[in-house]
Amino acid sequence: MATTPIPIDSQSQLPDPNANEIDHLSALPDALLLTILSLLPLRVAARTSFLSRRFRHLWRARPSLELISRDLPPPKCDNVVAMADSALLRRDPSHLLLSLLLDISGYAGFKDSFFSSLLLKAQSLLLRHLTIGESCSSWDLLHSLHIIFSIHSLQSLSLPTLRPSVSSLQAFQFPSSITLTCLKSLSLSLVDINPAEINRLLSQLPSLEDLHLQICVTDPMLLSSQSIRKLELIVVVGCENFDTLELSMPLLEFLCFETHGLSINKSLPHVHGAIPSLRKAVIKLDELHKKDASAAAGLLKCISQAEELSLHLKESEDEMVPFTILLEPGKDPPNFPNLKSLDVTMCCHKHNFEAVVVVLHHCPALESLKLVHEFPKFTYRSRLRNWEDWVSELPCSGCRYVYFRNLHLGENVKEFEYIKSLNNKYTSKRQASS
Amino acid sequence: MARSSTENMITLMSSDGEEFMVTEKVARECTTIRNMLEDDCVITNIPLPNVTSDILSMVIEYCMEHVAAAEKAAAETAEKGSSSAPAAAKANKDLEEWDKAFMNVDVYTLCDLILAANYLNVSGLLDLTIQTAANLIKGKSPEQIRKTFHIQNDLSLEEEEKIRSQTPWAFEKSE
Repeated sequence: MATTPIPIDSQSQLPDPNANEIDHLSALPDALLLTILSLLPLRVAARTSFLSRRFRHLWRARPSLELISRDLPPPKCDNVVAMADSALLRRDPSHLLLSLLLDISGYAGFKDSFFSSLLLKAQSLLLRHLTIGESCSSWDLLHSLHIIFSIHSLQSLSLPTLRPSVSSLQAFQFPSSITLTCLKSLSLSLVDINPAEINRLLSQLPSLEDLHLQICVTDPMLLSSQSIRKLELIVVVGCENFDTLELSMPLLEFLCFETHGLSINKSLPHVHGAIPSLRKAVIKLDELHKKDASAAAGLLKCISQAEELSLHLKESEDEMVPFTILLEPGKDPPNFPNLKSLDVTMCCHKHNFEAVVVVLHHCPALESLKLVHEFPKFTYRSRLRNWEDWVSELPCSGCRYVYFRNLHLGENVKEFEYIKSLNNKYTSKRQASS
Repeated sequence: MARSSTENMITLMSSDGEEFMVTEKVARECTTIRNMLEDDCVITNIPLPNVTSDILSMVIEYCMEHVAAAEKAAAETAEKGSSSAPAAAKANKDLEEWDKAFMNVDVYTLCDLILAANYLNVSGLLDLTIQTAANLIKGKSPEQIRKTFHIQNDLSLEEEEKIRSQTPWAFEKSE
């Protein structure tokens, strides 16, 4: 009844009963395992601490961290605090943090210093990319702005809409000390801001190259930066006084300009600018009225040195009859000496189409033209009126487009005539060439 | 793959001594090799002591497929002036399908490919293999992940309990 001794040779095979059962994953170096864990949502990555000792603490060293309260199980507030604690606050100081996304809401259950403590910890970990989501309370945000604007190591920063706090009667102000000397990319959305405050901010960001700015403005403003190369500007016109916007950006190469909130008494602002390096511009204007024609023409002049231009223009339904929104009546369009590619989306009624043809006469270098007809949306409001005027001048219903490549308008009169003739033989030609 | 006579051939030698002749263009897909070639342009024989022959042959297969796809796209662009969007989208989709089929390997091969892609610095292959490994972890319980990758659980019950109490937020409500 003695137990059978285990033969030595079979014992030597014990750790490897099946050659395939070796754990190749755990054998990968930390850096590669962390790359894998970085592709997983934080909660899923944290669950790998259950796998083995090898994985127990590994997930905490992920270079990027997203703290999102939205999909946490209840009790939310406790879980947000516990998550932030294990993922960020107790992070090993030697594991630097590359990027952090904060999108947490505590339903007023956080301690006052909680939000700031996260940012201070991120600062000590030499954070490079910070994104704060819309779920974060504006109280938390406003009370920690001074920390955010002093994280020296930041290269990119994206903040949710900043509103002046309800209790304070003062206008919104950025912190007095701003030390973001490495910041390259900034995304901001501001309501009720004194334009001088934006310029004070920009003047203290010497490395800023990429600015995404959404502003609700009430006063004339000047935006000035010596370093910005890419500007996405979304302007919500907040009042009748806002009539000029000046850009002074010698290195600007790409401009995306969009306006919202135009109406009978809120006009498109006149844009002036010193932007000599501009190469590409994307312009989106909505709710244009006849009175905006001169400002729209001024805007085109301001960007006339671009090589690539994309225009998306829409008339207001308040106007009773079709009018041209591309040109100022009775005036010549600017010259576009460098323009190679033009992309226009608008309602191609007779007046607008003729205006395009006029503009083409001023584009000697044009190589490609894309013209998209957008059928206007007649709302109930406009249907009550005499909207048949519009319809009678429309080329056809639905969205149609023409696209030309390898154009040589300067030399090839035939092509020019062809484009012009499209207006008459609209429907059939358009379909044929689209 | 057609080899034009003007193209330089490079010999790559795996850890187990097998030799693979590839065009310089294919070899250059590996940033590590590209750097060697740029440092020393007469080099034609490169030993790779960290990569076995079966894994090296897969890496080469991947590089050849991607070089061929890029060449095809470039040829089409040259022919038509500019590539048409639908054709380019289809070519991309085909290559994605190829990648997906290529990733139909066991977890050991997958882990070895991650190591090789990292060592040879083939960024496309590294992204592909890392993403495939992440997908194998997603949506699985710790027990299922251990089974998939043959991970030995060496945590004591006390340690497991501690982890559970420290990270309640990581678990679904039902868990």
